[in-house]
Amino acid sequence: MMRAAADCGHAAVDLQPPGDCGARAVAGFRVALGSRSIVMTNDLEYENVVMEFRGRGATVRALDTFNFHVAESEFVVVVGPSGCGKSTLLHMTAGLMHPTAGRVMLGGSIITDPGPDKAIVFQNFSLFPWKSVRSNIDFGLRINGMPPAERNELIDRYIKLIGLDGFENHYPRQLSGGMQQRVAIARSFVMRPRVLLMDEPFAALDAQNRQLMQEELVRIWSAQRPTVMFITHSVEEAVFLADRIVVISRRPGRVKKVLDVTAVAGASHWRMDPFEDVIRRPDFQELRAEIWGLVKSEIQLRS
Amino acid sequence: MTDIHATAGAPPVDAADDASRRMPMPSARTLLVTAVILGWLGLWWAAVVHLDVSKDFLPTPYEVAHRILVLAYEPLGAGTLWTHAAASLVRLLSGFAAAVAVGMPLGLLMALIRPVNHMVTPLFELFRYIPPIAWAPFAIFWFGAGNNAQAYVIFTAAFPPILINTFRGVELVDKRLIDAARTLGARAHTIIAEVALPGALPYVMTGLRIGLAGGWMALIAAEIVAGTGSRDGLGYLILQGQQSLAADLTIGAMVLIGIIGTLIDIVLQRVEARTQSWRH
Repeated sequence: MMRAAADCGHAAVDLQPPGDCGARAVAGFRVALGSRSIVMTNDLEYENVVMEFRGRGATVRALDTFNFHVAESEFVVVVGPSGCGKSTLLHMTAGLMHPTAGRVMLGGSIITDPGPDKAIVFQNFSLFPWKSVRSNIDFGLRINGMPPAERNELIDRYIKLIGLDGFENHYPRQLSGGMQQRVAIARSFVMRPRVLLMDEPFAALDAQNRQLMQEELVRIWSAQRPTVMFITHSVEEAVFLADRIVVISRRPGRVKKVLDVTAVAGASHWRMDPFEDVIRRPDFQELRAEIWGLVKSEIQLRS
Repeated sequence: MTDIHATAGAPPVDAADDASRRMPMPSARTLLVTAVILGWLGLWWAAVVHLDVSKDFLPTPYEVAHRILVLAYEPLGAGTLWTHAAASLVRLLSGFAAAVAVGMPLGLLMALIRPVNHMVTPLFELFRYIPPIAWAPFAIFWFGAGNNAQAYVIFTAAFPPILINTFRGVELVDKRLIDAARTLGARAHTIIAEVALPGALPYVMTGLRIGLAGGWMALIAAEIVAGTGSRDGLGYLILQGQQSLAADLTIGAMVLIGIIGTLIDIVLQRVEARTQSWRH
């Protein structure tokens, strides 16, 4: 799969229209399996997903019959009160946890193990502190057996893309939070994942950096267009970035409401425009207020 | 005496810092340490001279230094000073190497595989409260009096801190880093080599330092107790000094033990700093 990714997708990183890469843009990307060639889709299917944690004596149900479908290349943002099982959902999608009942499927097959096709970006960056920026980005490519020449070219391109040229040999500790998260994002995107999972990736950043990172994420994402599941506490962030927003109820988490942002944001989607312009739009504000109302009712119910 | 006064009356700290900035070598700290050592030596010397202490009871620092210098070219027992120091170091390193070879992998396995932890821990808890020197007679049963018995005693001293610190270090590695590695496609061996071990390295290094220091201390005891038959090693020098009533030799060997121990630790600190440049 690494090979398939390297063959086609990376041309698109130069911010050319994704149309370059027909198979990928239209229906998924091609994987050669021996002589056969199949087309994989990158949609996510959550089917009656239940997740329970056994604590001291008591069993806590984090997610309850969660049903949802994320289309290929769709950008879905999940919001909900603290403890509603958002992170659990993401960890299950990454293959780091398994549901107590129900199924989570990527492209029609049940997710069993973590792997580079399901990249995850964590809130605390989770960079390897003893590896330089360059080796952090290189890690996934190297252990999956990509030849050095190819890797170096890719890494150079991504380091440039996230604006960190000159910092290749710095250690994470020497970078600001925003720079560290850029590295983490590059480390994920360079793998050309089928699905990108983001667990409150910008929550640890200050407001200015957060805004810059949102715009940068859109830029990198639109070149590659993996399917995205993005978790956030920021309703504004959700409305700005999402194709669709899923509001999850308080624990045990269920789908409370799904809102279609594309219907409001227009054909080219407002996330392509500067954040400070978009945030002033009345339709943006209206949607923001609606979602905040939904989330707030869940928080108030709780207390 | 005068040295101590000189140190106490030294200019305040900011001035000392200033001096260190102007002079690249030696640093203010080195000067201070040297002055303090000289002060204590002076005190020792003055006490011996003024109180008219017998040479057999406590020789002067000069006499001790002289005895050691003579030993550097004049053999005693198996050889000169260098032979004895080298013999002790070889024993230390063989016992220490065995402790590393067993302690590090076992600590790693205990942290990664719960049943291993459950099986080893009770035995280990018992083991680590047995003082190294208590192993000496037993070591002689097994290995005979000689190098192997001594190396085994060093092993028993160095092994517990190496195992505990490796275990603790691996256990405390940020689980999110392991998750991150797994989502990037890392398998067990990659996670161990590139996440668990580098993450545990600060602990492992501490374990190595404590283990080596413990091993060095146990060695001398082992040479005195389990060393019957061998006529080399710093412990042998101490024993010779005692048997021939040469206090200068005994004290000289003790000072050497202290100096070599300090040098070993300095080397390890350097290694530690070099392997962890990413922390600064």
